[in-house]
Amino acid sequence: MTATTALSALQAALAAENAAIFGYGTAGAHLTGSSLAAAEQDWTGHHEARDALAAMISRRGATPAAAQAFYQLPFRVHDAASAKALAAHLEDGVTSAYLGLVAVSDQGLRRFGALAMQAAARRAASWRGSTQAFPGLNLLGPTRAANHCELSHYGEATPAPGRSCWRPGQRRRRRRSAPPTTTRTTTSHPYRNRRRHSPRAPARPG
Amino acid sequence: MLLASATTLPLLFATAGCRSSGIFAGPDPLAGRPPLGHDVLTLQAVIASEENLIRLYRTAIGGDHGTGGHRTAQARTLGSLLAQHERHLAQLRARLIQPPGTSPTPTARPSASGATAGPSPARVTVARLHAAERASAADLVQRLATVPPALAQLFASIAASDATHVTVLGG
Repeated sequence: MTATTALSALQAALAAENAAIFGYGTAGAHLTGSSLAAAEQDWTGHHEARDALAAMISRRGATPAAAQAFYQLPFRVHDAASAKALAAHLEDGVTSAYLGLVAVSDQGLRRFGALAMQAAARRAASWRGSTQAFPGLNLLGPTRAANHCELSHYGEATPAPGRSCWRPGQRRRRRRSAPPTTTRTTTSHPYRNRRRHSPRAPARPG
Repeated sequence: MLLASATTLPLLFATAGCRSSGIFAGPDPLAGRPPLGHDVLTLQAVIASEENLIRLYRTAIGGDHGTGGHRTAQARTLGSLLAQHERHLAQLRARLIQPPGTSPTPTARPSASGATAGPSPARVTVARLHAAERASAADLVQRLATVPPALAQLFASIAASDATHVTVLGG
């Protein structure tokens, strides 16, 4: 794999981290107590990972991709259970994105990606309450794809047929009733602006 | 002309001292099995490690002598983790292509997973499983550097799964 694809894998991981930072903002608004504390800890971890990835990309002479103002969420988040499901979904996306780094020729990046996968898989298991046999990999075929938006090995979303998919880098479709989207969520604490971060995206069609 | 060629070619070989087996320089490539490649040896070692982990789990579940609800809950948890290891093994075996007649047992260096081959221990504690899972995850990451990308991704995913098992088993 060439240096270019290593860079694109880094950018994909960065995009997934940015999406997770945004998503935890929504999830955290519906959590309390120890769950909220866990979400804050994970949110901080994703910030640190984002900064590390951005530095790695810069060292390679490229510009880290900026976070989007909004990301379309995969489903409506309205209570603690759906918030935890979102957090698990976010971690699944991050795990898949780091899997792309495991495929590059740089041995250091492979190791970095694999260890990041372990951290994300542990967080996903914690939010989901169960473990998975193949975190980040889609080995189940169309059955699972019908229920989830999967991230490919290189961080590109592959929606199930007939379904839309939230993915890193995707702008939320602006509706007439939506307020102006001028705020970057990655520079502020996610739970201070709960109204702004509350889910406005409709549930996935179908 | 044709007749002349058919009769003179064997004569030519005979006078040059050539025999069919002596045409090729070096060892006869068809004389024996080619050595197994590095990827195959690595995969064999990982498969052996996974088999041993499965054996540890089965022993732990079979020897679970807890009481009442605790036993049931723990056996259920271990059974769930065991099922995931069996899926790991199936995926690993599906990627192993080796010549017919080759022994499926590994000839590569033994895994550092702590799930060493050999007779099953009489009793396996959760602490032993915890250590084996942790070592397995570390071993798989260690092996990433020298395998093709697709195999590296499978190893990394299994290592991530093992890492979640470590958490389930107590840290």
